[in-house]
Amino acid sequence: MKAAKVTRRMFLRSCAATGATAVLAACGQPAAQAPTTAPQATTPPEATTPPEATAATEPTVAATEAPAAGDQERVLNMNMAAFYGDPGVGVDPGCSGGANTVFTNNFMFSRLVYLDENSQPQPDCAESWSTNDDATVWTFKLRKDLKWSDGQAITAKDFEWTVKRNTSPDINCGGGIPYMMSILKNGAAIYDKSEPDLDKLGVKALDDYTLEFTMENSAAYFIQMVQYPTYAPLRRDIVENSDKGNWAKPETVISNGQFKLVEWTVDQQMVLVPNEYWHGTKPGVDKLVIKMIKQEAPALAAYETGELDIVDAPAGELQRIKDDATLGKELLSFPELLTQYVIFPPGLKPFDDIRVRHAFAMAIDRETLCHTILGDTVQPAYQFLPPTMLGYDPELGKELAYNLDEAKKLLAEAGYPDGKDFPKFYWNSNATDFYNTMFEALQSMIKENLGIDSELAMQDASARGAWRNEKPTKLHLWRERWGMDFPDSHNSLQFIVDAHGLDSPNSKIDGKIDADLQKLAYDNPKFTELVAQGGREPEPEKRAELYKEAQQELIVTNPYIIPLYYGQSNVLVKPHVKGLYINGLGLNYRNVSVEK
Amino acid sequence: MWKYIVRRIGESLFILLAISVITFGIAKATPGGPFGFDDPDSGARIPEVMRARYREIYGLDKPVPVQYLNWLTAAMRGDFGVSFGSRNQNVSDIISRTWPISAQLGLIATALALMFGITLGIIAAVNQNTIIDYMTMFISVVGTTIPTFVLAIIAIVLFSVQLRWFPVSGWGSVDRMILPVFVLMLGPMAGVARYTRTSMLEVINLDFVRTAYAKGLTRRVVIMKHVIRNALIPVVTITGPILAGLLTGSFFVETMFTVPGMGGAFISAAATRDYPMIMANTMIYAALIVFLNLGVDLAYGVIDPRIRFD
Repeated sequence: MKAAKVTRRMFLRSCAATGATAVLAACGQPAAQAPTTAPQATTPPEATTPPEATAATEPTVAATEAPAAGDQERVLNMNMAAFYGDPGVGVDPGCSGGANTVFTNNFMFSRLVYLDENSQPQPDCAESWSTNDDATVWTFKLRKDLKWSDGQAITAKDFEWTVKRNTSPDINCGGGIPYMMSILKNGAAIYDKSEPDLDKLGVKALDDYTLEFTMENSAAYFIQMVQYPTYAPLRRDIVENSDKGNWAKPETVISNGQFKLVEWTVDQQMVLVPNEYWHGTKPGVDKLVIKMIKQEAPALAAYETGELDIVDAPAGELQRIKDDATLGKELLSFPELLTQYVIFPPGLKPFDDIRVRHAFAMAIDRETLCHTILGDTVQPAYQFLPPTMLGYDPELGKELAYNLDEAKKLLAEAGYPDGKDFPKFYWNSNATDFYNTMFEALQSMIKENLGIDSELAMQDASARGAWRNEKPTKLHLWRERWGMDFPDSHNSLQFIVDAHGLDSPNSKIDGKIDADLQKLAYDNPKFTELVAQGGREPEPEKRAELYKEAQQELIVTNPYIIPLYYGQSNVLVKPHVKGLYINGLGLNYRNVSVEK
Repeated sequence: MWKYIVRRIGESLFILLAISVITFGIAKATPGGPFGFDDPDSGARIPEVMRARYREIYGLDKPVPVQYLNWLTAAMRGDFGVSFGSRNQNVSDIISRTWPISAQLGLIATALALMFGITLGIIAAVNQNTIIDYMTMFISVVGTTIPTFVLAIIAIVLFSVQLRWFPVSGWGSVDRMILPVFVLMLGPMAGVARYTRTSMLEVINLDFVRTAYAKGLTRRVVIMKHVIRNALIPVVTITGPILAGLLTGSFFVETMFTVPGMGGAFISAAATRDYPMIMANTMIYAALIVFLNLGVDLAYGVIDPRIRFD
């Protein structure tokens, strides 16, 4: 996120909706490795052979780099479009939360649990887990056969050390990314140095195979969070001996995932091969090649020439791809857990009037926007939470759907009949082709439907936040999007509290509260309380009710945002790639195989 | 002459210092900051403690003049700091990894651009106002006017997707170098060709050329020995900036063909407000321009002995 400014956006680019359990039509052998099966009680076959013997008889690198005679090597060529990271920060899970870090981490680092087709946690390094009544203490039992890629055993101590390291403000790669760790007891205090003792952090190895996490507050959603890469174990001796956390390179890396990194030409490609010590089923791929083609056009060209097996389909090429006899069949579209919206300045006239906010929401025809203007590349949204999330209700927010008469009436009641005397305002967004199209449409909808003039303030991503801070009293509707880090509604709703509350970074300049910026914040104690209750509540049905009510506040009763659309991923996949599945985190490669 | 060189180097250092002040000032004055903190899509959720920690670690909590002086004193020692974009790497490590690749690509492209450009220019000039002249100038206009990114896409679609002659992306083998070199070379080649032609046509009509013919020299000797040598001075002048531009890498060519060079790194540094990278890249580019221009000035003396440095 921070370093790469990609995080939030790119992370979710490849994400799908939780319930969109669309296992690919071509899905190869899901039954054989069905994630729902309890972890094998018996030791996996590869672990029964002593490591030395395995290495001697079957040196993985040699075996994969020189294909065995008569047997073709199964290679999967992928692309990592926007690669901002570099060795170490690019792969070290504790140092960068960027989408590409998460992408590579998924292959290289196994976490306690992974998410199945229904985004439900399944045993990975942990074989079972439990929590206390108020979800403040979580206990994980680890598998006893866990090994690093050099054959050494992994214990709960390794997890404990890593979680502490990733929370420490003195992490050896300049700053770290503490936002997934502050849920732990004293996590926030340790990062801001008000608690100097790292051992006070809410993580403890009770014995070699039992790991206990203590939360700062009740957190029923922690099980979804613990699959985030910052909770994957790292090798202490390797990490501590590295300069600036620069250990995650082929020469030194030791990891615990399905694959291990064997080659990395920075800004060009990474090569990974199966890790023979991994505790799960052997992958159906002999070699993963992750290329770093940043531009869409050459990436698509590389897919067409067969240099890539999977590639993002560029929005601009979508129509051509759909019309193409071959490419059309290889296109895979699925919803992302990402919501695009604009934010009102609720403390500024005339948007302090709820009728004005309602009129704006009703004057925007989201169906036309998504289906016609944006060419079906995204789907209309009327609420903040994406479908399948707790608290999503298909009817919620529909009262603010396109309704011209009502919009005009409300605006007139608020004192601006036909937009008369309505002050000019700005639409604030990044300048990309896509956003330019979208905001030109919104601008003309507001002009035609409400008679209100507005201007576009399209800027580069880093500049527009600064622009807002300089001119907080200038009226603008601010575009933002939220892609979920983990598929639980709390992640989305808590974000509004954290990022847009009176005390949030958005209300501050250089760490100090700014009274003008606070007028742009969402000051709604009821919403904050509902979200907090939802986070503490263990019962899913009750949580859903609380989140639904919170959304009603956010969208309808005291609206802060106008939801515009839900994101959608469009990916091209060659037919010989099997076993991919889609869950709330997007395309999952855990069971991937390549047929020759 | 040595006095001249020493004076020029002194001037150059002063120019570089001025450039560093201006670049630092502009970079800091540009709205937004590093680490995506100001990007609403990614920065909105970054907690204040994390922002404060980063400002402290990277010295951004200090006044801008102090930041500049810190940068300058470190840079004098050859330490360009840590890249904000990849925080576990020194800027100097990134540059020593990416620059040789850009330089290799740039040197080959410059050499080919000069070779083909001068040849085309000469052919056009000696065949002035014939079909050959028009053809070469057409190629040169095309090369000048089509932007590299369009050219790159055309090259990829034609040679990689349709004809399947070359791979689309990557670096490290000859077949992967051909397309980027070709695309990178075309623009400068066209420029060199036009300069050469114009300058040749000027020289070809001068008195000493007529004298040379009158002496009974063959056309070949006149052109090769007298005309070309005199006509090359403007070409040498533009070689400096061309070389500096190509050696530091082209953003479009490098990102389109996935060449892991310095040009791509420069643009992403500017977009993400990676101040240490912006400074280092700008200073390298500036130093190259300044010293290549000095080299060009000295080269005049070799090409045209009448030029003296006093």
